[in-house]
Amino acid sequence: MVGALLLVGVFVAYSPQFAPALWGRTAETETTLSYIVDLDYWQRTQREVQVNAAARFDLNASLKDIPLTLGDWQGEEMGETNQEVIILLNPEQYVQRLYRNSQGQYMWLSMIGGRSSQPFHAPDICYDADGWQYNLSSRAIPLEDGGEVHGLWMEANKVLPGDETPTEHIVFYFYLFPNQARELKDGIVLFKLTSARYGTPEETLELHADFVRHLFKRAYAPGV
Amino acid sequence: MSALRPIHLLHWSVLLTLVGLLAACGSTAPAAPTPPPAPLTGSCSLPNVTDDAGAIRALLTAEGEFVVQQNIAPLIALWVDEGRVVDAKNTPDVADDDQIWDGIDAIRHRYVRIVFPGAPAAVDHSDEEVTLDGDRAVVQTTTTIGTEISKAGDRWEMVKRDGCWYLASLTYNLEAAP
Repeated sequence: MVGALLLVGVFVAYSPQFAPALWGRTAETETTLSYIVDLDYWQRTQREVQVNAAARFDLNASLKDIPLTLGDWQGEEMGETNQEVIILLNPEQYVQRLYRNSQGQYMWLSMIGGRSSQPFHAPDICYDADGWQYNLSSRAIPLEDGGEVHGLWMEANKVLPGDETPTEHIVFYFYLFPNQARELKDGIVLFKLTSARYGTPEETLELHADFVRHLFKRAYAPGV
Repeated sequence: MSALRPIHLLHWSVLLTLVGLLAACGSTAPAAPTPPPAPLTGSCSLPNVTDDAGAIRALLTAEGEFVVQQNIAPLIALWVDEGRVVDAKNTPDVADDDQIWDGIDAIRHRYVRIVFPGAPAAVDHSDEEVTLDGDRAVVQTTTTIGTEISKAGDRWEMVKRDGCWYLASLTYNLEAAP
């Protein structure tokens, strides 16, 4: 009898490790992926934070491993059709995806990874060169487990050939570094979201925030 | 009245000792460490500023010098957080085509990604027309960046906070298109 009770006790005490699924965990080792996020890659800004991520955003992994399903968002790979972009930027990794949600709203996710400054043209420079009118500011997105991540926020519009009304783009972007040293050789990733304007800019920000929160969980002061 | 039992005496002595210790701690505990002073910002970060007119001139001079030096931290410290830069696109009466950098993050980005790559060797804000109104000032300037001269093309707005003057906005390309 005592032996049976001991056996039950041992099972209860250790079963989370033997059968993690029963306890609501995955069998994978729970390691925290953390990165430095900032608005610029040249010098750190006052917006620099460390974030815990739900996927790998460093160049020792493939950025294509970032999930295609993010909550209500379902993505598909959309390779860059303009080869000049690849030649010009010469990125180590380049991912371009189109996600859609059940409301029919779309979100482009562009990630460019490199170990030099060549791949990192500021998006607003490209929009300007392409004849878009834009205004630039920044926005903070609060994360589920605390803290907030800042990104540059661009509202751009252009009347495309054949259109009577301007096409509007809303862009939110920041840079990711694998560590606080932020050295180019360790790799940098540009994380950029682009959507149409859905309602007001603040309503559009909520949509971007929903997307971001699937990938980044907590932000805090670097090194804490 | 019964005499205090030894156990009560023990409690009282412990209590008195604790009270004494607390009082002693209260009287001799060091004060909380003084935080380091925040870095000076705006015109208060600049030398030889003695009055409002001098502060306004010093802000503009420093802005030009920090641009040439590509020294972003002190450059940004000249601005208020909610500052804005507007490119009037040489159509000062038309707001629809204006391009706006709104807030300190966007202003920083403009300096780093648009202004610095031009590597100006000299920036001069001259022909100042200063309108001072209490804690606000508007300054119309002609800006020379290298060989490029914008005659009365820039309008700066400045605000005074806690005794320091700050850049609040810059609207440029106000001059008519060449």
